[in-house]
Amino acid sequence: MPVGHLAPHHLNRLDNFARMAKAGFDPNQPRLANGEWGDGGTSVPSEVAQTPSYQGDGRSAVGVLPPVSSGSRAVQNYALPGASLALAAYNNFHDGKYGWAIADAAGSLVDAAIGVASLGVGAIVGNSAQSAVIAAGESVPIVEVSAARFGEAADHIMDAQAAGLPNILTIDRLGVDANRVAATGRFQRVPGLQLDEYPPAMFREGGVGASVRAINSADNMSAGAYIGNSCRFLPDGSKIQIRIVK
Amino acid sequence: MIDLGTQAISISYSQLVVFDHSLERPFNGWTHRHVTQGFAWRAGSVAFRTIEEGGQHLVAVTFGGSEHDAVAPNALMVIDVPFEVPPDETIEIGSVSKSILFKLPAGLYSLRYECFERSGGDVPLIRLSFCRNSSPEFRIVRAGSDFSLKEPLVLTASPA
Repeated sequence: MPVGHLAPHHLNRLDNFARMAKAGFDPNQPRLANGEWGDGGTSVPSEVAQTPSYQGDGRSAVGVLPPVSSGSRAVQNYALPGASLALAAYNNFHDGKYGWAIADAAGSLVDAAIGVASLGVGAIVGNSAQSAVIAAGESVPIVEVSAARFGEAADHIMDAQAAGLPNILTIDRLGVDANRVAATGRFQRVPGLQLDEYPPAMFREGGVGASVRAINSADNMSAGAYIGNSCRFLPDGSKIQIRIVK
Repeated sequence: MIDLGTQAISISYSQLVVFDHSLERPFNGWTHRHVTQGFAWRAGSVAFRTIEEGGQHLVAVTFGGSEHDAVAPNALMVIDVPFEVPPDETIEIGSVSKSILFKLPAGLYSLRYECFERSGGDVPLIRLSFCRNSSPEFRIVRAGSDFSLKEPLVLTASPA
């Protein structure tokens, strides 16, 4: 099942559904499989919604999904193998599409997809000391980009991620030139600065739609070198998570 | 001079890097001064700033001799630095996203970096020359248009 990334307007929709879930609470509506109240209208049949497992892009999480009604959202905790804590959330959109999201232990969205053709899809949250466990059995190395050390490059990454661009990225070195042209080709060079792009061109998620900003050369070159060092021994297809730290 | 061939290398983040293959973190951090002098050097790794920020470049590599050839008149940047090829004779030349292995006799070299401007629709050319030299020096032979030559060269760098 291909996994894409949530565009900003999709993120907004997720936020809207979260608000709907709080505002639309109805004690007469069916309970979820774990006994919690659902938060939407008509429930989908439980035998369909209670999918025993979720799989996407090689990731999997085993658990019983709660029934989710149209336009609603539900959240449930799961203990996943390899994760000390896991949280799954499921969204069922008014237009009949479904989305899932992966958030970190603090609840920040780290990856998401929409339009997954399945009932009862949602978010999986994992946490471990060293890496984000995004699903049972799979961990993604975290590349921590220091705001103090990488200055304007870190600022750009932080802003781009806040705008909805993904922070879990897939190494794709063969695509680097095409992605760079697709991302920066229409931008004018700024004397004394360099064009930085996020996601970087060496990742599958780069290219069209990447955020481009003219930034300080030393910050750009250092951050690029740092990401290069961090990915040095990772083959194409590997995923990393880029996270901004102080 | 022995010609080791010309390779197409994709440049990322405005840098071409020559480094000891055994380094775990070969790419260097850049300060403002590194940018204005055109290179960031430490033992086993030197990163040269490129004219173009990215894209395919042709990189021609030669080694041998005790002195560099005369500087090409159309070279836009020329920089000499010391470089030691490790005992396993394996170095890498490339950029942040990809590099290529080269075999060179172990020992100390003067490494010359020459960067040429793209002409027409051609791919930009970079020439790297390794000359045997027991006491190689740092030298900006030809400065780029935005280099600063007033301040002393910074001859240290740290892994990024």
